[in-house]
Amino acid sequence: MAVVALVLGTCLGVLLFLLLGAQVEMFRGLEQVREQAGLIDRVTPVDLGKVRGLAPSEVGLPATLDTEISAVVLFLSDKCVVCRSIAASLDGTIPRGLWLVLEPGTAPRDAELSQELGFDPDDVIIDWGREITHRIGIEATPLGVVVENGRLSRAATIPSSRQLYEFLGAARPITRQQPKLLVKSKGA
Amino acid sequence: MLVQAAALVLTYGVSGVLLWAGLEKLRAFAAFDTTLAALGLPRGLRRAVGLGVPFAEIITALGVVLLPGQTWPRLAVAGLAAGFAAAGLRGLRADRPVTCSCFGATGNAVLGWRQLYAFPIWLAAVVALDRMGSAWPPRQAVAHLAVVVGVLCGLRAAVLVSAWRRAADNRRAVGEVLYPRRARMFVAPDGGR
Repeated sequence: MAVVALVLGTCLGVLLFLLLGAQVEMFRGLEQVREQAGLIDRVTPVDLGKVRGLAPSEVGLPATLDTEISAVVLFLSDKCVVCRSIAASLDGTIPRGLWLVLEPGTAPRDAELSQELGFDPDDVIIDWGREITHRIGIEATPLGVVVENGRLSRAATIPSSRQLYEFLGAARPITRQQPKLLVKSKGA
Repeated sequence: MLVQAAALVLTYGVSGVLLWAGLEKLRAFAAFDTTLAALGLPRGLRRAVGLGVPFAEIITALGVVLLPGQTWPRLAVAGLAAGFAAAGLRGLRADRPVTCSCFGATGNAVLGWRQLYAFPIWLAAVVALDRMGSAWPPRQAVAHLAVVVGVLCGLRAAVLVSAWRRAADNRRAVGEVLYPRRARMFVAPDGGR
C-alpha cells in the first residue's frame, strides 16, 4: 500500500514538475514580449566620460557631496513622464543617501517646479540654466549619478521607482540624515 | 555509513539531473528539435534522436535510483555523458552558437565547453557510484525516487516564484509609467489655493 502511494505521489510529482516548467516558460515568454515592446524597466549604465572621478562640486553640485562616502544624485525633469512617476512614488520624501536635482522644463519658478514634483523647495537642488547637466554632459532624465568617496563614479538611467530603490541599495548609501539644500545653482 | 550517505547523495544528484533533462526535453520538444536541427541532424534521424535521448535519460535516471545494484544504469550514464560531450564538440564546430535545450526551453545556454567540462565529472560520478556499491531494497528505492522528484519540484517552484516576482515587479514598474497617479503627481503652481 505504501509503495503504491509512493508511486502515485511520484507520478503526481512528475506532473507537477512539468506544469511548473510550463509556467516558468510562460513567464519567460512574457518577458520576451515585454522586451520586444520596450516594456522592461531596466537600468541602463551611462558613461560619465570626462567628469568621472571629479568631485561633485566641480560640476556644480553641493560641496557637501565631496565628503560623502556614498550617495546617489538623481536628476529629474518636470517634462519627463517617468520623472513625474518617480517623484510621485517618493511622495515628497527623500530617502537617505539620495540627492535630488530638478531640471526646470515648463515651470517658471523654482518653488513651482519643486511643488509640481511634490517636494519641499529647500530639500532639492534646482538646476536653473541646466548648468549642472551641461557640466556633466548627459542630457537624459531620470538619471542617477553615484558618488563614491566624494567622487562621481558612475551613472545610469532610472526607469522606475523600483529601480531607483535598487540603485540606491546597490550604491550602499550612508545612513546619515539627508542634509538640507546647501547650494542652489541659479543661473539664467 | 558516510559512504552510504555519499552514495545516496550522488545517486540523487545523477538521477535528478538526468530526470530533469529528460522530462524537460519531452515537455519542450520543439526546442530540443531546433537544437538537433542546428547540430545538422537530418530530419528522419532528428525524430528518433529527439525522442530517444529524453527517454534514455529518464530510463537511466530511474535505473540509477531503482536498480542501484545493476551495472547498466551506470554504463548508460557514461554513454549519455559521451553523447553530451560529442554534442558539445559539434556545437563548438558549428558556424553559429547552438542553443542547448539541455534542460528544456527555459535556459539560454549554448552547446560547447560546458558539455566537454562536464564529461569527466560524469565519469567520476559513475566510477564513484560503482566503487561505493550502493544498494537498497525496492521499497526504499521507490521512496528515494519520490524524494528526487520532490526535490526537482521544489527547485522548479523556486525558479517559478523568482520568474513570477520578476514579472510582477516589472508589471508594477511599467504600470507606474503608463498609468501615473496624476492626482498625487500634479500640484497646482499656487499650491492648490
